[in-house]
Amino acid sequence: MVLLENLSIPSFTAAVRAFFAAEGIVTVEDFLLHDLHKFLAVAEQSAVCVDVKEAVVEALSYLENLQEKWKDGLGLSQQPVGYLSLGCESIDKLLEGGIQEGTLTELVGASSTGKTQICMQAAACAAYNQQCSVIYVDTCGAFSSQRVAHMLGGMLGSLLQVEEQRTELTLSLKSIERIAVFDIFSLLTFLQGTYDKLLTESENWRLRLLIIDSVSSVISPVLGGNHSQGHALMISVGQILKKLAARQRLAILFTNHTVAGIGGQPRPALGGSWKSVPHTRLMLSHDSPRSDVYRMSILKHTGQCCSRQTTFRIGRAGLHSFDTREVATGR
Amino acid sequence: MLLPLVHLYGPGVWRQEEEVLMDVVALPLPPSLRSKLQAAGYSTIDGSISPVQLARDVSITHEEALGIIKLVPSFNSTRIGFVSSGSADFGGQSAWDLLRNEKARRRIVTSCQELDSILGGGVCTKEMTEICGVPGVGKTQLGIQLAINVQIPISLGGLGGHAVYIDTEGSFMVERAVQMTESRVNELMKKASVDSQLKVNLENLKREVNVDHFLSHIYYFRIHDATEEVAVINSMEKFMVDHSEVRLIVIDSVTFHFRQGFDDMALRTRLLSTLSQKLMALAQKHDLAVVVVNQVTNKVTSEGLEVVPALGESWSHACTNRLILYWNDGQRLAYLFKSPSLPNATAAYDVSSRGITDAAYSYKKAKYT
Repeated sequence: MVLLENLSIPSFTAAVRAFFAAEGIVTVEDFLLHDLHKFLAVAEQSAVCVDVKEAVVEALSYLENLQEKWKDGLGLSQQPVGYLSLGCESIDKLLEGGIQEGTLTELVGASSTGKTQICMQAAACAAYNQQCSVIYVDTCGAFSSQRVAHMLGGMLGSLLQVEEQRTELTLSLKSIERIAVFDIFSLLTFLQGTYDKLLTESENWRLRLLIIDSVSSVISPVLGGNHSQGHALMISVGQILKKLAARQRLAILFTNHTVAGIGGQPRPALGGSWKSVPHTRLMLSHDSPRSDVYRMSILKHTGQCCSRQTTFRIGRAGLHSFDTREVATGR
Repeated sequence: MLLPLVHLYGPGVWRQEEEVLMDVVALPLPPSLRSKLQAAGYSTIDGSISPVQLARDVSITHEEALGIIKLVPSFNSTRIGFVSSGSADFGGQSAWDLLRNEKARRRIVTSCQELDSILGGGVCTKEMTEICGVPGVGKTQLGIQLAINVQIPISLGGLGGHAVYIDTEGSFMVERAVQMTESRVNELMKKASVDSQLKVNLENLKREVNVDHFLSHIYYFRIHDATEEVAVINSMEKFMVDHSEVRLIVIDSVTFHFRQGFDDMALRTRLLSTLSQKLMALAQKHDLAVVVVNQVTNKVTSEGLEVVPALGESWSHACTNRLILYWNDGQRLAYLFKSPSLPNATAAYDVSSRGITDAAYSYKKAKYT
């Protein structure tokens, strides 16, 4: 709710405001919900009639101007869709190019199934391939710059001997910003701040990827119990993330943990209302704790059929496709 | 004058450039204040509003209004990104800066070389490490050993820090700690006198490296129930202000009081996740290592019984690193189950009268020959 007087419309003089208030119109919502014909009829009898009429017209045109213009299907379909590669062939193939800009992608998985590894690789890839800024919100102290450097090293490969390439590595590392956040209020404040900053600095700040690892570890301390406040906070996080993705065309990647579902099968934490937040939900699993082969399957995707899956490996230089021939030759 | 259109629901109309428009729901406010604000038409709030006006509109005291406004952050909009953006930043650092800091980070050795090598040199500060295992495998021993090793002076390659030991089970035996410290101190003095490269003054060193000195810098807390446990961790922030040398917090064990007397499992999950976030924040802020000891439990699976770390699925996400201790053929082994920067690996170790030691025979050698 926004107070009418805060709109800085010049015709809202003190007398007009008082008249509005007397009719019970204080906020913009009050104004929009009020029967304006009845209101103007009342205003006819008052001394400030002309001023009130002018104020109503001005407020209406002001509000109309605020409305976002509609787009048609053709226009939307011609909009370029950007994908950020995750630097692993099999995963990129599964996702048809990587994580999509303007959408939220969630990684779900039990402990030690490669969620953080994918996040770090996504950051490294975006910073190196797209030369854009990346924000990495770290809520569990798991971000390792050493590991990211290894992944970048893997992408550069033998080129690392060349001086120029080393500068590139430094540049990529410099464009990944890591922020340590340990409670939900700091997270919300930070996200709001990022949104505001992007509004004013979008030309200078090439931010394209926002990673939160993990979103559940700040939400689960406040969720549940007899108060609805925790739930409201969780939805606020979802809302601001959606706003960031839709309005600023950011690709947003976050992780969520699992809880035991029916029959002990792991299912994503945070419950039903969080389910609607991510556009894409990817489930990670690990066949046996001693192997380095991991599995990713699509639980939810707004543009693709679900339950397709792929495998990948985590090695020293990051994630890479799992090649069946490797097993056959015993490597 | 009409203003551009983004400004009603976006930031803007009635605020200055540096102020952030915050949702009232997203501010850490008591419910009573929050509902008052919402009832008065404030669903969003920005930092540039005057406290007098806010107090009048919402009919609260000036102090309350001022408190609310202080919660709204402001940003320095002249810089790009949050890195080094002045006072109101979030402590964001680029991966490059972090890498340089990370290389300088010191690790607490475990006294077992093989174990150190799978941990990348020892238990790292700014991280949370969980040790799980069956009773008697050496969890507490490792905890005590770390509390001693964290005190190795910087001149001898240690951290020269103090340790906090939070004991929930009463398993910390001071006689054992004395025994382990004695042998550690002897080893250190021997090393210092033999190794001429270290160039340390033995007399000065003796004042730092002695049993009394070591023992007096293990701050011991004995906890009797879950509430006390939560309370002592909450009070740690304050404790750190007076004891800034602390580089290690050991909680032995985090599990004990949470495994009994909890009917409300949702409450347990909430408490535990709050606990882990608090510990994580402590570790980051005060540059210390947090080591939590966890018990194990049996899990019924399709293949029969499986021994898994206790406290369930949500807790397994809480720790940055997870080290599982177990027995195999009479040999104690440690398996690094989870780490963001290191591969999974196994190491053999032993527990002797001196404390944690290298295994008599190497697990890896046994495996490959």
